Amino acid sequence: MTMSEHDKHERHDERALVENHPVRDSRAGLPAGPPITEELAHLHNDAVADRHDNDAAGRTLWGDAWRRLRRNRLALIALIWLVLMVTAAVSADLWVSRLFGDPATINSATAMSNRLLSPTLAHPLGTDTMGRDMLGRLIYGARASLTVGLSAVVISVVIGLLLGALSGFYPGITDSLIMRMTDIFLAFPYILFCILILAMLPTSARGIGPVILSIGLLGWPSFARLFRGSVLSVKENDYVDAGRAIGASDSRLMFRHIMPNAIAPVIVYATMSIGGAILTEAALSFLGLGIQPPEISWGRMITDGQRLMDTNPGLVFWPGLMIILTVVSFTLLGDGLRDALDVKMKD
Amino acid sequence: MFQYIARRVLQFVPVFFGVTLILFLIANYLPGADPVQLKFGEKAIPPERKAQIVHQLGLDRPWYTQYIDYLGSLSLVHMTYYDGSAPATTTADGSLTADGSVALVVPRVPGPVPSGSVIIHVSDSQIVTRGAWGRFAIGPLAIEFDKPDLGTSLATGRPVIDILGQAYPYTVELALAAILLEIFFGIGAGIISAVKQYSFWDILVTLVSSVLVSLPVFWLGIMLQQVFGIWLKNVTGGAFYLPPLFDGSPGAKFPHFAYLILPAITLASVSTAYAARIMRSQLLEVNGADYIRTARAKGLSAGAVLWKHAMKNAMIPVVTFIGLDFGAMLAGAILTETVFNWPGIGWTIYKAIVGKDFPIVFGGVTVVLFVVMFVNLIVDVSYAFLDPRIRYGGTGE
Amino acid sequence: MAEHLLEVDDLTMYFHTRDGVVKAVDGVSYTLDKGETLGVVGESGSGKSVTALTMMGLIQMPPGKVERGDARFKGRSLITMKEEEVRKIRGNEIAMIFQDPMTSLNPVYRVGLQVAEPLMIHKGMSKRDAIKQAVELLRLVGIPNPEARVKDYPHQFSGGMRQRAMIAMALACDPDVLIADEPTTALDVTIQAQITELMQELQKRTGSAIIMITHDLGVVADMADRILVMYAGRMVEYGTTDEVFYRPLHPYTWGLMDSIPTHNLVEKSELCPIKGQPPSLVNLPSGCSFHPRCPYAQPKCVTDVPAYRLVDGTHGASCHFAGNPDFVRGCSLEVMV
Repeated sequence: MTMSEHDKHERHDERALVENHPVRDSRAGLPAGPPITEELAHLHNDAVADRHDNDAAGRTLWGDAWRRLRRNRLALIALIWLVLMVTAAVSADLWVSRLFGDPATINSATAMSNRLLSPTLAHPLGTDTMGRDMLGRLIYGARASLTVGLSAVVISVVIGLLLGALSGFYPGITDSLIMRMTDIFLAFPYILFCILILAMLPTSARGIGPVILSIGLLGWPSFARLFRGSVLSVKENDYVDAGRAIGASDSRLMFRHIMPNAIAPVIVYATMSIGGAILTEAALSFLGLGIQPPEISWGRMITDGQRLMDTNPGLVFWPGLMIILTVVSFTLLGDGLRDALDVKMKD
Repeated sequence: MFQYIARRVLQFVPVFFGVTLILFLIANYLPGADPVQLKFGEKAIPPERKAQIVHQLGLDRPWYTQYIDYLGSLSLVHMTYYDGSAPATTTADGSLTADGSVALVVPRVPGPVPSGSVIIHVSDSQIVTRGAWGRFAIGPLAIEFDKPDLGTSLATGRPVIDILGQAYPYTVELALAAILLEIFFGIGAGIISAVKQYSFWDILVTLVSSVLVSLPVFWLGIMLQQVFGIWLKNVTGGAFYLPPLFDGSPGAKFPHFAYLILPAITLASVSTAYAARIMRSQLLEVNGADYIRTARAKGLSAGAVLWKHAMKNAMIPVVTFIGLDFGAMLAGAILTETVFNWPGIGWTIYKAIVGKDFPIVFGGVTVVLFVVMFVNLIVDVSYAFLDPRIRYGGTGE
Repeated sequence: MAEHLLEVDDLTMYFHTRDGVVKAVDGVSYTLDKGETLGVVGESGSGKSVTALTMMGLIQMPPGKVERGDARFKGRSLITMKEEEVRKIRGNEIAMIFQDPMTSLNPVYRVGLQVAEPLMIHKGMSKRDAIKQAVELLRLVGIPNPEARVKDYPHQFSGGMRQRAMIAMALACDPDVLIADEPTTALDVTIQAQITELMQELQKRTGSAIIMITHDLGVVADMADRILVMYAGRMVEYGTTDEVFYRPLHPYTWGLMDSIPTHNLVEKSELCPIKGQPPSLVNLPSGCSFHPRCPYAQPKCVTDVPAYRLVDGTHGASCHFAGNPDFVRGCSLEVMV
């Protein structure tokens, strides 16, 4: 079971009720109205309220989605937090060193004197065992995690969409083959696969690149299946046949017709997957297989701080908290996107 | 039903071969890694010796031959055909030497038909035992049962499979404890959450499970260690606390199960959160179903409706999830065991990573992978028994 | 005056939701006697099902709330009764069957057990005895080879057989009232006839009263003694089958029957087809809820809510102009012109 399946059940119990109740009622010779039963009353009223909104502004797919997203307070908070983090991380080189000192290299002159300081104005979260500023390290850790998360998911999405499209468009042997491959890749738990690959590499070859590749190479099956499903369902539609009738090529059909409809669930699932990728990276770095020092990673910070838990719990606590906040944000954002975009698809 | 089971088993076969193929490819052809080097750790190998070793290890043979050999080494069961010819050479200690070339499934080994277990030299540096766990022979054709060969540890020289065999009971113990926690707390919280929807409890469970699902498991372990192992000890002056690290020695301060508590909670945490969510969503979905309305219309009490009608339907996907999640749990055990020094397979793998003992890493991951695959197959098949629609297929009069 | 078996008196139930008050049932009154069949007719969303569910206590309160009115069964109020008391009546004295037998039966339990369940709960039978009885019930509803079928799961039955099983389940405790909520809508046309025939036959045998909720006039024409027409949660017309079919009073009923009756004209004249959709129950039109779709609406219809009033004996309607012969003549003249 994929995560999207669970969550779909969670949210769509009400929608399922809508689908199971009779809507068309032509036997009395009169057109039927919207179904109103006790369970659906409040849903109908939501629809009424939405109609007000929609009549006011223009109706575009993304405009509607944005409006819905805006109303979801949790998703907004998540989005704001992520934007903050991304900004801080991307611009880190410009200002972190100046404010807090170099978080990566060890300044042997001040290392011992500065070590394990309590929070002060100069070092808002204190310093680590080597006198490096914690806040600065956390920001660089954010950069690493976000890079890994986004890059790995991009790789998974690209491979997944490609294979999913092939699978959907060319049923038969191609389809079966690709589906078997998804079964095979899905049999590998994330951490094991990555450990396998990374442990085989000599220490010099490890680093952020192999981490991104191994996570990315494992994540494509879900996207392939998702996209294949979309391709198959859209393929049935008449307008695709019409397009074919006027001689449009397969790839043209793909891009102009299928992509816009099929892209929404991919976006939702991708957003949620970023959280998983970040957790995997943290675990790998914790085990020593991921990002190597002096590069900074939250997982690695936890490993380093483990020894000093009793005296300086902050060394472990802050990186962990950052991981939680970041992953939760991606999950909430993904949830919000799903609500914002999914409903549109039902219309 | 049998159709369903047959289909599932048939689907499993290519997956099995695909997984082993990928393992094989990673072991031998991973870009950036040197399989020869891996067998010898990080000792430098003089280039002259390299070619010799490559030949000895059989790494210059075509890949499919190597793959089949690899499968053979993993297998419990071997079929061997002894063609009865005289042995080619004998080594100094008098054991048979033979140059076994593998023909697809049945290796053809020159030599007289042996009785009892037999030692075969496949190549100079590889000694293979056949029939150590039993032999069944019809003339020159023999079916032999052996321990799977996962290589030998670089550090100690012991067979990897023995090392793992020593460690796996701990992992099983941990995983079972975690699953019990998951079933009790996860399903319980999910039920209460669904029955009292939108109540304080429901919101609490939803929030907590959302956080747990985003938690790095190893971080949680460290936090629990700190709070219950050290801080609690300080606060109660050493009177009451849980041990932060495993101690298996005879003079250990706590009974064995006490060391299990924190690791089991840590390992169970993420899975419990998922289980609670699924239980909740399934129960909510089922509660809206028509047959629940029918049950109430028949005069059943709310409790009877829940336990007799709703749960039986809602539980099916939940049980399936817990079964499939077992695999993820085993994988996650690596992190938990590392934090608590719990001497299971995960901890063994971790120590091997640090000690660069690659055969153990590879063997350990292989074992866990296989267990996950087989558990998934069993769960898949068991679904046929759980859902009467599959068990008694077909419709109509 | 003898007590009616079931008496619904100005029953009114609204849903109080975040986005407004849904007036699902508004002022519905009718009576039901032993052996009688009442047909409740209306479109989807007219409130015909919700009325019955409210009576049975199967509506979630909140957000539902009975604003006023009552439903009395054998003299006792179902609305004010405690839940434990109502439970004793459900499935026992008042039984209900629903529209889609595939989803209304629990897929993971054998059919026999589900049919036997009311017997175990209400009559305290042992499982073995109850299932034996279930076999007889399945036979009664015309399921062949019931001894074997009792062990089957719902998905092993065909659609018609499932509905028969549901009827068996409802009749298990010999109820005084059987409420059938669109029992034939989800079935094949040929099976529909079988099911309605079966219900009539069983009614003759057991003497129970039936409330037949449907949008299919053909079904009620055959089966019902009295008809209640509902629109937008309100009762719009109520009378005997003959009265409603041959002398309908309300323009909505005219639309359903496809004709306007006139006393003066020999043939029935053509009707303007009724266009439009039923209104949202949150945002009901002012005055008469039907006025936006009524081709004969007058200014009064927009401002004043028509109360239900008796026009001819026990036959009544909620229309300002019900029973007014000039109005009726005017409508048919309009059409002819």
